[in-house]
Amino acid sequence: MLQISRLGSEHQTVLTEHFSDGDVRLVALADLDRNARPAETVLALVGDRLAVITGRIDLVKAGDLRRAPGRVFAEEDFFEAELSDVKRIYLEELISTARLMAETSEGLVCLAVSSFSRRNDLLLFVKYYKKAVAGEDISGDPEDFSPELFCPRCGRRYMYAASKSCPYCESNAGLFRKFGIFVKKYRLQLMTMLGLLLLVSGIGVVTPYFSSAFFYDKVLTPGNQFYGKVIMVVLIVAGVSILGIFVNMAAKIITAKMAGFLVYDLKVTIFESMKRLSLDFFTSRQTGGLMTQINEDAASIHWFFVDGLSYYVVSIAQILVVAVIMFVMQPYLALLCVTVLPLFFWLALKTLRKQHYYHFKRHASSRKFSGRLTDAMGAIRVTKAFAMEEQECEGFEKVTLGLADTARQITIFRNTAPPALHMVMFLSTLLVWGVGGWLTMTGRMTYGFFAAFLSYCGMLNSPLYSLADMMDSFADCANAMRRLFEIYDAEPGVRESDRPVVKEAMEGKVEFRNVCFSYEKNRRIIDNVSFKILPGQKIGIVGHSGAGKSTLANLLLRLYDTEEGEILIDDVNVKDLPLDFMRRNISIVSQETYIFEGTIYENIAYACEGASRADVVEAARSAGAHEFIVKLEEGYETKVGAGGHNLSGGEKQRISIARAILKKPRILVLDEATASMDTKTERMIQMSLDSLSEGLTTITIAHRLSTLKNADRIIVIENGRLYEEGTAKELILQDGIYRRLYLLQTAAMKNIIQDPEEQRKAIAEEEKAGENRQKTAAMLATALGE
Amino acid sequence: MENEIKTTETESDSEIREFTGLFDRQAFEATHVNYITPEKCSFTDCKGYLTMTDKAGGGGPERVMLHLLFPYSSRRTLVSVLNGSQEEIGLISDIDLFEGDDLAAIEKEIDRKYFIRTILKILEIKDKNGITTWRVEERAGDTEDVADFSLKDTYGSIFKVDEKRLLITDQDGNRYEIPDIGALDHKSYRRIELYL
Repeated sequence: MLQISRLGSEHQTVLTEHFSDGDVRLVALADLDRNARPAETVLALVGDRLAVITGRIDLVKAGDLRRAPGRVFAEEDFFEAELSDVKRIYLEELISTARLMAETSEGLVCLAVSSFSRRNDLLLFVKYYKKAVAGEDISGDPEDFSPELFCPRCGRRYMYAASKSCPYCESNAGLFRKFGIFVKKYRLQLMTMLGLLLLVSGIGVVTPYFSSAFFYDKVLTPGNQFYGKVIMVVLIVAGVSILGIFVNMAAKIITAKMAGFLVYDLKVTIFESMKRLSLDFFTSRQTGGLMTQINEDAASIHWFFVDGLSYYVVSIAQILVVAVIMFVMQPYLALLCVTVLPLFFWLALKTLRKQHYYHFKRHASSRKFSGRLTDAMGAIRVTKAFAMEEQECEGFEKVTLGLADTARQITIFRNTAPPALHMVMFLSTLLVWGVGGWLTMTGRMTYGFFAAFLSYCGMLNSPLYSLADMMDSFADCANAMRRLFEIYDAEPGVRESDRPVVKEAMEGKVEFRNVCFSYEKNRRIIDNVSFKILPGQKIGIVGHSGAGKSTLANLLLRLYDTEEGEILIDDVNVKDLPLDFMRRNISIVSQETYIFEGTIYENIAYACEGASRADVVEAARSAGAHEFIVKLEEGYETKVGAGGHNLSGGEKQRISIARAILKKPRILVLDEATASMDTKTERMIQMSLDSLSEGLTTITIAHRLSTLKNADRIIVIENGRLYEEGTAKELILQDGIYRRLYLLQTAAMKNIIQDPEEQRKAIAEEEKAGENRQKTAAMLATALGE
Repeated sequence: MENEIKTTETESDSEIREFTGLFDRQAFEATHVNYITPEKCSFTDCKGYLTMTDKAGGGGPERVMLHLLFPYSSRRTLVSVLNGSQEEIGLISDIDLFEGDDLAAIEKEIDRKYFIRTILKILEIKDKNGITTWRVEERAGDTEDVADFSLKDTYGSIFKVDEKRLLITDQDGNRYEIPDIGALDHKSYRRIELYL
């Protein structure tokens, strides 16, 4: 039996009750009933029958109270059909549920409804049901049931199988371990820095002994070996202090250099990680938010390393050394001094958590602020056109207020929490003063010894104060690190194959085989599309807006991966081809052109490093861009993009085409690439592309049928499905979508030249149209040589 | 052949006009709403899906789907009725115009399509490398339970419908709602506040 969902004993029991012969071949669970109420639905393929048992789980108290209550399946509904009566079963994806339907000889039947948590189980049930009906093996394919696809701890399916990372079971300890990978490169500098900082701590610890206990008790007290050697002591103290200053400076210089390089590495790695990610990562996030993430977070980490890390190292070392010295000097007083430490650390931990919370909140506000700002800047034209400046300002004011509010909270907390912690430690100093003073007055302790102890007491408190003050910076840094690793760890939706098929050259043969795809889970954009393109063929794709034409281009380029089915290039699945090979050999020009900041030359040569000027000019000429570039004062060296020369939509498209042509691809995809051009320029570019594209596979996506005039074959896409395929001539003869589009576009042109009188006549003629239509269809068919 | 086609285009003027007329009629239909009322149609729940019978037009029941035009703010008004090809047949302005079995059938279909759980309490939110895992007390229909789910892009997965109401879509596509964020207990609010 192939168990798609994990069955409990209650499910096993109900199956055994119904099918004692035990020939259950396939079973899955759904979690709602047909009215979308929480329930348990068992779907089973038993022998030659399809069965659905719906019910609820009742908890029954065990006789022994120490045992967990038993689970009993309370059956409410049972459906059964012979496989011969079931024509097909299929899954309908609704907004947040999936509905399993069956076409039976009795009519349409809803087998089960499930939340999306069990959607995958139902999809697998449909898959293996079909296999079983076809007489194929249903022992379970490794791609569906390999143990590597599931978390061994909780049994959940991994979100990204390749990463084997389960968000429910992974711990947070990995954060600093991951950061360790970056620090490893600088371990020599880090060790030197730590050594120097420890030396600074040591020097700091020795100084009070010479300046107080040794000075009062050995130098100023008669009868001692060092009595009267004041200058020597002053020189020792001065020398040690100066040494301390220089060592500290050296440590700071090393830290600053290391922090700079470390953050540089971090930024580069994060940017590289971002480039590795697929489009869906960027489309699901506000770009402003991402910019904030990289800039602000890297800065937080940098400043923590420059300012905070050295303080932490010195402070912790100092606390340990001073505590040991104090215990050696006077254990009872030392004990008194550290009594308040547990309270201090408890409060410090609470403070850290609170600061962590505030920084998280500040980041959220800052993200919202950046997102709003980016949005407002991008939409400035629309805002002005609709006179919405005031409303936009109000919205902006709201997010700014949110940010200011969080900043205020952080500042208040930053300024009030550390003094509270200082006060706790001051309590210990007061205790030492009282008890130590009494011991000195009663002659149990010398004045010098007491003065030295008090200095050490101060030296214990001072790093603790520093730690309290720096806690804010630590919380900020930890938060920033977590967010940056969020990008670093993100798994790309499109992954390069572990063992890619290496090919020297691409021929340009393309095949879509039963391709299905959706951007969102419940909205299929491409539905079972299949077609073939031979090398060098020119294919046109037409369809209404939103039909899924551009998605086909995105899938071919592997900007997204297919959900079902496969795309083959030269008979190899695109998932097995190296991404670099694919993108080197396929060029796409889309309607949404992007011009980078730089010269026109740089923009055209973008994907062809080292392209000669002559090559660039030639490509521009072929793309019809040369015509307007020569009219610019600085020619190909005209600055374009942000702050540069303003290009029209058509000019941008021509530069994009030139960029694509220069790459000398084997497959060229023109996705409404000439939509912003006038008909003359479009025709000119088409002629030029025709001459260039000998042996080049060209896929042209267009609304204007005239754009596809020279296509060898046209594919008509509607609602994500391939409806028609053939030459323009063949498609006009069919009474389908292409013909309707053709008539509509021709009609639009006719209306331009008709005067009002003619139009009135046309309306009158419409009444006779029923008869005329038949007549004209016959004439049209004869004229086209049907 | 090109010449022949040109000739045909001239001769097919009336068909083109007829087509334009047809297109205009379709455009008119698409821009003018056909309201579905109890007088015109009746609905039946077929144990898991919905059918509609056109009383005026005759004919048998046709399988239909419902689509809420304002799914966040109203589950009872402006409901589009679609046929098997996902084309709109008409619009129900308010489902409460219908009564009895008709209304029950419509409500069931809406519940099936827009199934949503209500979050009563947020017990825990753990953030691990940008993926948050949630443990909540939730209610669906009359069943209350503790549920775990995870959000891949937390900020993008929480949609603020209005000042009070939140809609959360987990990584599987399941939907949860918090009808009034202010009515959450203090701890739950503190946990979610960071992601608002």
